[in-house]
Amino acid sequence: MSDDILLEVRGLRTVFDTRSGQVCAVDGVDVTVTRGECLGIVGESGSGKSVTFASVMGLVRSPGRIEAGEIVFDGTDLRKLSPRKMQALRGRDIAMTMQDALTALNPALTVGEQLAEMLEAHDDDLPRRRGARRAAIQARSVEMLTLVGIPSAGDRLRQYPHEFSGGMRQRIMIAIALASKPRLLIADEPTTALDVTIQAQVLELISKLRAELGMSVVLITHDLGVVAEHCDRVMVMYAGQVVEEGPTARVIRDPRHPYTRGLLASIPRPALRGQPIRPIDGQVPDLVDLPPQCRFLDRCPEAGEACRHLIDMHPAGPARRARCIRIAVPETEKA
Amino acid sequence: MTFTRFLERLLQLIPVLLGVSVIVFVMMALTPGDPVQIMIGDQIVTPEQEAQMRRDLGLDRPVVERFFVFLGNALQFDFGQSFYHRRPVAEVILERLPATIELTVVAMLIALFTAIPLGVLAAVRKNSIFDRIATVGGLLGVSLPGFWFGILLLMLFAVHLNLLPVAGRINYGISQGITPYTHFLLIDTLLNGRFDAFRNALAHIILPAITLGLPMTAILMRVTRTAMLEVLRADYVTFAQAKGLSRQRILWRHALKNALIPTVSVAAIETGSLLGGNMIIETVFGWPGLGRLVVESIFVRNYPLVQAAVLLYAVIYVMLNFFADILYTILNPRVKL
Repeated sequence: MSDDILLEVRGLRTVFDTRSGQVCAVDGVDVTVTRGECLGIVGESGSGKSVTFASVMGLVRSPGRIEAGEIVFDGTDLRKLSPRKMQALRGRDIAMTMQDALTALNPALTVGEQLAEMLEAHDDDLPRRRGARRAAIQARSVEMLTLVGIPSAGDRLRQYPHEFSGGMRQRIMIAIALASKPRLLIADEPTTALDVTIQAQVLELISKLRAELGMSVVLITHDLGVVAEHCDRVMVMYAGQVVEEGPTARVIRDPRHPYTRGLLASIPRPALRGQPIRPIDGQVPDLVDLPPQCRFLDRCPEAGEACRHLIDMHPAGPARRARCIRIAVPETEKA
Repeated sequence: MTFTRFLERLLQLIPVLLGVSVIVFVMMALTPGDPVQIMIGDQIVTPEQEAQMRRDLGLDRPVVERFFVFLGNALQFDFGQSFYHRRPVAEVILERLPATIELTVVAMLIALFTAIPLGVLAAVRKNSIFDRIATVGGLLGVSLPGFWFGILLLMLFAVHLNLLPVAGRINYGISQGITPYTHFLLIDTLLNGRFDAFRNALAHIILPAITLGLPMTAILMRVTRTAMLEVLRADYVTFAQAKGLSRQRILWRHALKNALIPTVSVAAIETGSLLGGNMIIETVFGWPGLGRLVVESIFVRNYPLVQAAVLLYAVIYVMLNFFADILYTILNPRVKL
């Protein structure tokens, strides 16, 4: 089993020192990604999902810092790597795409240059000689753009990001991220900035490339629908903690944490046409000086006195866990 | 960015130059002092002789009429005779122009090549000791008056340390036998293969150029720092980091190319203001350029020369802005002129 694990994060704690106090954006998060799987990370803004993976990439910006935890990628603890080795690993082994390709691509550089520099940095198969090297980079760039479905790629390499449509820019960003054939792709909200029709195309593309390149994918999103369609497993995050995790189909069919249930109930569904959508009442708690109690307490319809202390993750069925004391595991599912 | 756009710019020059010439003409007319009296000085002349001089210079005509005569001639590129030199104004100006251009270009290069790296470093090491020193230095650079700072430099390097010359462009003896291909001494000396003369010219230009470029350096450094700070927060910098690119590449290729967009606009405007600074700096350092010529001409009420020189400044200023626009489109592919 452990041979199958590509990324294992244990007890990650990432904090931001601000004027009003220490904000604990990620508090004791465990993540496991196995080879070839697609893991969905769901949560609203501020739940810590993006910061968790910025921590994995070593890209937490000041005033943020990783306070505790282990980040083991393929047997190496990334927190112990030198900045130089970490830089070499970024992009090459773990690649990332960002939410908005318009801002993530450099407006002043051509798409070709932004692709080429990725290959320069990570592709060891390129020839050494200048001319041959340039030709090889050109060929690989065309190949990558074609792979993500951009027509007449050779000409378009000379264009700037603003000359492409939103969906195309997203594909270009994916092409850049995948140019080094990474083993893990972290896709941070890959479809949020896109039209619904383009969303589906981009997600299909990621799934297809995952199968072709045999990589693992972490799909960060706030859209449970996306997770349902594309992810093997799902992790739900709330206020800096993981509140529920398990195989996607089962989590969606039978959510164990009240927050997950709330999320699912707030999705509009054709079957429930005419009925009002049920949002979760209240707001995400302020992450400064959190009291030692269940973080969902104030918004939880089922909360009681017993919830007023720190809650651990509890087993909630086969390969499932949830951060709630009220989990009743059905006898039939007990592992 | 095309030829039509270039023509448009040239056409925009017409109202600018017209306005500038009206203003200069009015100001010179309002300034007390009479060129004829200044030329006469201590000599004793009869009222008839004085009236004759006035007629020769065309100063017996009303101001409005003089203005239109000037305008009509200027349209044919005839800027009249310099009262003082008794030679065509254009000729006198062209003689002095290369020295000023040389000084300005060197000052600009010094400013660009110190301000941009310093600004980038200050942004990267935000709030560090280096950043603080740069900030204070920048403030001083903008606030120190050029004539005072220039004299200070002269006292230190020329008088006390005796390392650099006090005034002029080149030592007279050394400049002999140099063919003036370009009239820029730093280039001509090299073209003539006269490295001794090149060193001499360089020693002469270094202090005035530093003094002239100081405010521009300070301003550009601040602009670069601010622009870099903004750019370093951009998503594309994070994405570039996530791509595993080297720090150098992210800084100088991804960040700086975007940060240069505002910097270049400011640099062009500041280069224009160097032209104004020239008048003071050339006077302090005895630099035989156009700036000093204009100051001298104002003192002796040499109207035609001042008029023509100011027009020339206006043309250069507008052209610099045009040049900035072109650079802007090169740096910022989202903008099409």
